[in-house]
Order: sequence, then structure tokens, then C-alpha cells
Amino acid sequence: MTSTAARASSTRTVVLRMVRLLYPHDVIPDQVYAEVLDRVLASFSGKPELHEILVNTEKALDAQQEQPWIDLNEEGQIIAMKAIEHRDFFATIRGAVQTPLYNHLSVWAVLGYEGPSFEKGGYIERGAGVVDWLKRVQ
Amino acid sequence: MARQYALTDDRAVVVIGSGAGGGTLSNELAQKGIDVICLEAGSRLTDDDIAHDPPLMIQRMGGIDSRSGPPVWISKTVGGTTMRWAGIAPRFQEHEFKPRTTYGTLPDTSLIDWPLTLQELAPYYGKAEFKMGVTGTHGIPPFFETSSYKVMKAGALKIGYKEITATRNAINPVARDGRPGCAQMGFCISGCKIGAKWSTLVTEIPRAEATDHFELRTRATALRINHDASGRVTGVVYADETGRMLEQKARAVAVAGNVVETTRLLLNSASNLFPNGLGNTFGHLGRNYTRHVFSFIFGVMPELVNMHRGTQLVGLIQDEQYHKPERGFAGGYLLEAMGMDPARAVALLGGWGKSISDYIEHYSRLAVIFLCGEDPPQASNRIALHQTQRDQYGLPVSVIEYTMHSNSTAMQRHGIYQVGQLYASVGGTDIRSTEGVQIAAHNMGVARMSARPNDGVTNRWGRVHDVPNLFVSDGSVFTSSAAANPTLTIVALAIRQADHIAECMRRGEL
Repeated sequence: MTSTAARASSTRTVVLRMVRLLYPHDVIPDQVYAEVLDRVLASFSGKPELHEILVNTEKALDAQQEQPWIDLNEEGQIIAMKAIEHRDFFATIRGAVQTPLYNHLSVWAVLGYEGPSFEKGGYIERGAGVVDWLKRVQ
Repeated sequence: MARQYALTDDRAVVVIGSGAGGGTLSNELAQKGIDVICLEAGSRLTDDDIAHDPPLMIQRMGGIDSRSGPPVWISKTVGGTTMRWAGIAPRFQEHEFKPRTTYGTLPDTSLIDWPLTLQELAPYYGKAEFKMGVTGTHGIPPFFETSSYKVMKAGALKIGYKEITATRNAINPVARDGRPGCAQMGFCISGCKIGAKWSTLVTEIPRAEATDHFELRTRATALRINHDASGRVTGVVYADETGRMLEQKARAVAVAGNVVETTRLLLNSASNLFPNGLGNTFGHLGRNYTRHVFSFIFGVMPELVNMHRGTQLVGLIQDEQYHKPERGFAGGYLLEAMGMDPARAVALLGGWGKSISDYIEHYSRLAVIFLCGEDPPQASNRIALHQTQRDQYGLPVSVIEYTMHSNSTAMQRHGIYQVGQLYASVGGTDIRSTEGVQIAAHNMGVARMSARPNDGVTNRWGRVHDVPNLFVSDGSVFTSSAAANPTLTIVALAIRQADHIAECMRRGEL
């Protein structure tokens, strides 16, 4: 690997870890977070600020302590993230990750969200208005 | 093929915007045989363009213009925000037309009474409800009770609320007026794919086109309203889809650009005769901007709710809509049962880390209630032109300045507490809410109606006080916000304004 490629790879590892810690779901595999990150990166393609955002994020996370952020334990990583949460680039990444993550089919499956319904005729015959448990608490 | 008018033809009323105000006004005028040209900045979607994909639909409905200040949720598409509204259509109460008289002097507000009464608007509310097919009116049955609604109703009864109803939806419970019954699809606020929800795209625009007195021009962005030496408006300069600047001559002009763009257009139409913008002679244009007190209040229920299964906003609790100053604030609020997808829930709740990700793992047991309350006008809450930032046509973009009044903060806190009690009464836990300034889906008040010209921008018909043939036809004319979701009132006012414009024409004044 060239040093540029190695740096890019290390930045990606850092950002991917951060994406998981932004919205940590134990049952969601890393692969899903990686797909979400790819989608975010694709949405920024052609925009020069992307590189800057990623590099700034890595630098800022690393600047919070002596050792590289990626080598910290989870608690230490979260403390460092809290220290930079007010920064614009942090908010940009968080905002960009949120929608594709919670629109990912694997995440929907975990949450019990059933998604688009037009092709299935809506929810009118598929459980709309069913809350039988209410009778027991009324 | 609908009618086409020449640019030099000055016999038509030019309506800017095709949403609740502009779309309704256009159709009402065309039905009376009055020629109308409607300029819509967005494009016309078909059923096939409407997808159960909220981020995609935000792009397709064009809510991405640049402006600065707290976010607003508006659309550039044929149908305007009627494509994106959730379909709740309550009326104002009588006292809400008289906020100054009812609430007294509320510090740091610019409250005045409306120059019209509920009694005067009631027949137009009736016409609007018939047109829109509002449940519980004109023999239309109540709406389907969604799971969110049932949770809200059960809790409301337990904490002593009395006025809980599944009426006041402008979504067909059963087929009516050429539109099908609702299939409980969800995704209402991304556009209704089957047209069960009332929108001007499915009703007013095609009906206007059938009259031969109407032309819709899409992707036509109004940039400036011109006038003659006497101060009467004469035409509208707009950019067509290729970016060409054209001027359409007009007999009268009606602006309905969902408040933010309405203000910008009128301010950008400044001239030697109107140096501060059209309608700004008394300095009120853009001021008294209100956006309702909002909160989204979440609770984790003991068992499944599946709030996504069905219509997104169904039913109202009206007990808190009244003015009861013993609660510690003036005016009132409505509580409405809501459903939403996980991405929107996470976006509204905000934050990051385990707190939010653990919470959303309860998604299938979450219930949401939407609080919508009266927000008193403040002169300092306003929409103005940006000092430096320009759009693609070289015109200043808008700046929104808005801070919540202490009355609104107190109301929000009260509502959040009440909903917490409501949820707890049916076993709900971990209640969370959005506080402070929310994204505004309801924009009102920048060109308010006033009895005296120096108190506002428009008269009781929505006509600009000192420009005899310029009308404002959207929520901008609201003298105050009241608690009710605004669309029904916008439609009622537009029907009434059409009658007035026709009457002025008969009298030879327009």
C-alpha cells in the first residue's frame, strides 16, 4: 500500500468505528454500518469538502488524547467523541449517517418496521389499528 | 388541452403558487368564468412519481431551497404543501379570531384581533370541508382508528379528557368525489400515492383546467411583481424552466408562496413608489411570523403499537384548545395521534449514542403525539432578505428570525407534561419529547390581515392595504396562528377571497 492509500484506509477505519458508536446496535453487523458509510461517501462524491471532513474528524478524535483514538477502549472513544460533538464536521457526518442507517432494510428488520406498503395494498388488511392489549389496561 | 394565454394578455388574474391557497383560489375563480394563470415554481408529479421513500420525496417535492435561519418544511411542486400535509383539518374557535380581546396585553407580543369573525368564516369553512371531504362533516363518517389514535384515546379518557375525535381528517375514509378510500398505507406526508388525501393536485388543478379559464405554468418561478405609476400591479416577471425571464401581464395578482417565498417576492418587488417592498408601507411585511408551538412526544408502550401501519395523523384531543389562563399561558393547543418511520423518529429525537439507539430499538412499541398550539405574534419574529447571499437568479435569499415567546415555552411544557400523564395511564414509560424551536411545517402571519391599514399588510379579504389589485392568498394573511393546523383555514379564506374578487370585478373595481 502507498502511504496515501494507507492513510485513507486508516481514516475509513476510524470513521466506520465512529459511525457505529453514533448509533450502536449490538445486533447490527459491521457490514451494515460499512454499507451505510459507503452510501454516505457516494452521496458526497465529487464534493471536495468530503475529504476534509473525514480527515478533520480523524485528526480531532486523535487530538483528544495521546494514543490514537482507534486504539482506545469504547468508553474512551465515546469520551473523545463527546469532546468534538459541537464541531461542524461531526454534525455533518452524524446527519448524513442517520437517514441511510435507519432506512437500511437490516435495521428495519431489527426494529420491526415494515416499510413501503403500496405494493401490498397498504396496511388496512395487515394489522392497522390492532392494539388489543389496550383493553387490558383500560 | 387547457387554455393558453399570451404574455401580453392582461385579462387574467395571475396566481403565484398552486397549493392550499393558490390552487384553491385558482379553481374557485376559474369555476366563476374568471381567467386565471397559475405560476408554480415546481413540477407536476404523477401517481407514479410518488414513492414510499421520504428522502426521495423531499427531493422530488423541492423542499431544498437555500435560506438561513431555523428550518422550514415547504414544497415546490404542483399542489404545494397540500402534497405534504398530514390531512388534519380542524376549525379555529371563536375566541381565536379575537386573541387581543381574549388574552389581553401579552407582553412582547403584537397581538391584534382578526378583522373577521368565526360567524363570518363559518359558511366558508363549510364549503372548504365539503370540497376537501373532511370526516365528520357533511355526512362523511369518522376516520379509521389507527393504533396511535387508539392509544391516545385510551390514555386521554383515563386522564379525564372529554373531546377526543377521529373526525376532521381531509382523507377519504371511503371513496368520495372521485377519490378512493384510504388504504392505510402510511407515508401521507410524502404525498398520497392514490389520492385518498385531499390535495390541490388531485382536485383543484384538474378541475380548474376543465373550465377553459385556467392555465398552469409549471417550473415558473416568480421573481418580481411590476406596477404602474398609480400603484396598481400590472404583471409578474418570472423565470421559466430554461431560466428565461418573461413578464406575464395581469389584471390582478394573488401571491401564495407559503409565507417564506411570499415575503421574499413582495420584498424583492421594491420600487421607487414602494421602496420597502410591495405591501410594506407600514413596515409590517415579513413581521409577526408565527409557526405554531410544536412538540413531538414519544412514549414506549407496554406492547406493540406499530405506529407505521396506517395514516400518519389521525384524530384530535380538543380539551386543551380553549383559553384557560389558569394553566399559566394564553391560548390553547391540540394533541394529534401520529405515526412515523424510524428515520424520522431518530431525526426528531436527536442526539447520538446508546441513549437514542436503545430507545429506537423499542420502535414497534412507540407511540407519538403531535402537539400543535397557538404561537403569539412578535414583531421581531420575521422573514427578511439576506444581506449578501443570492439565489440562482441573483435575488437575495430569505433570512428567518424566530425565537419562541415565553407563552409558547410554557404551553409546550404543559402539553408535554399532559401527554406524559396520558401515556403513563396506559402503562407507557420512557417519555421523550422535542422541545424548543422545531422545524416549521406551519408558516403564518407575515402579511397579516388588519382592520386598520397601519396594523398589518392586508385587509379583511387578504388584499394588500395600499395596492388595489394585489392579494395574498396563503397563511401569510393569518392575523394570529390559533391552535388549529392551518390548511383548512387557508382553503376557507381562499374560497371567500374568490367570491370577493368576483364581486370587485362585477363592480368594475378590478
